[in-house]
Amino acid sequence: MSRTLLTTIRLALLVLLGEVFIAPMLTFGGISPDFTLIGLVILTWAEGTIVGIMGGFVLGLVLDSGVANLLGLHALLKSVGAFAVGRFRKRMVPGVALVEAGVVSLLALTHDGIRLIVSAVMSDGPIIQPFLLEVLPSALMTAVFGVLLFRVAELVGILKRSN
Amino acid sequence: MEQLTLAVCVFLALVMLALPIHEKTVVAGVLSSVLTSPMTRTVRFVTDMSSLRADNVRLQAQVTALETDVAGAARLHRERERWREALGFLELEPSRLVACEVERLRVDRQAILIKVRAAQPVSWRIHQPIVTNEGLVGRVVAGESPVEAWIELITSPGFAVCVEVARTGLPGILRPKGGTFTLTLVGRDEVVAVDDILVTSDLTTEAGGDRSQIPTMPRGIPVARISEVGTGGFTIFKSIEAEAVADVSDLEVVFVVLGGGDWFLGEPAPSPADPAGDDPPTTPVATGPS
Repeated sequence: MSRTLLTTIRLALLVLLGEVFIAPMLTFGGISPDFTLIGLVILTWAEGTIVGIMGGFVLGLVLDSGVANLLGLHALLKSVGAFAVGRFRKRMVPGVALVEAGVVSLLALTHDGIRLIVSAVMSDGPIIQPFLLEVLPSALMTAVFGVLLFRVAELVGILKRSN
Repeated sequence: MEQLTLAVCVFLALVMLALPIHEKTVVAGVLSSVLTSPMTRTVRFVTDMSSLRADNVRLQAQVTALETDVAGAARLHRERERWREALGFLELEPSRLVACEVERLRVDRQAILIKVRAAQPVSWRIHQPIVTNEGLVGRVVAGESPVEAWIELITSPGFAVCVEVARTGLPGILRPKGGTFTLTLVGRDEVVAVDDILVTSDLTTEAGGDRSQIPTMPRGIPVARISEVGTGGFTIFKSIEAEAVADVSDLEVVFVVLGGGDWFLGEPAPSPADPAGDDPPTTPVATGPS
């Protein structure tokens, strides 16, 4: 349990650093990698699905606290996302960059896509254009940085190839 | 177990999603204060610190540059003093003016005072002259702080100042009398004319004691213009009335004169109608401290 806590704290710090200091520097045309999703995938793969689901829920609540009208949506999507990633982990080949990139981009695409749809339905906004111009590039960028961060997580011992 | 955890989380998330908007706002506020605020404060602290460091670096560079400037100015000052000494210039205490804003007016039976705030710290001395661009308006009676002082106006009932007629150097004591002034201690045989300008004298209004300790004013600051000259029947002094050259009824900004030294009394330039300039000068002009 203490190892899980340590991993969670280290990951939370990594995600915080990435989200607050690195993501703003990597923003191009309003598109930036989603470090919270990358952190969620690493946490789930490192500590298991249950910790991933709970971590995703708490992380979602943190993000939800800033968007009152969609309160609970982040928590819902991240919990379900962590569950899906945990399930997928058992069937994938560990350490293959292309597979990791595919998982992260698919997760980002689904997560951001559903958020976009819900928010568009609630505010009667456009869907297709933001999906093509924001969600899709953001998912690709998240995948690229996800692969890089997986290597970093392996180096610092959070993620093990044998997992 | 995984499904159960997921079910609980999904249930909670759906409950939050289903809340009415005002309750969502309340819950979001609570979550924000518990989960986000510590992080926000930490991030703000880090960014503030980095901004503070950048400011410090910039200010240190400015301080270094200013210190270099000060050192350069001090070097130039020393060089100037060396040259002045070598060329035999007299050591004069230079006069200078410091602007003061008038803050308050206090009128009572004994005195009419104004409180002024200087633009920079001043070493206040009793009877330091206070002037406007027109002439003397008062003198310092008490310094309250390095930038604040009480000034006695020349129209104050107890005011008296040693003056001299600018044209002849004839001394007298000027005192307020009603709305005008009276120049006393001028002998009945002295030559004084209407429109003569009275300027400050460095004589004191007090007698006896250590003269160096008695406050005086610099010479030559315009104070009043003679408006009427009369000779009483059997008196030994003339009866002279004057009007202040400076308007003290609406003071906003005044200047305190620092240092000593006489003020130059320049002759007015001859008018085109009088190229020879034969007429005696009538209005001496204070052109600045010597």
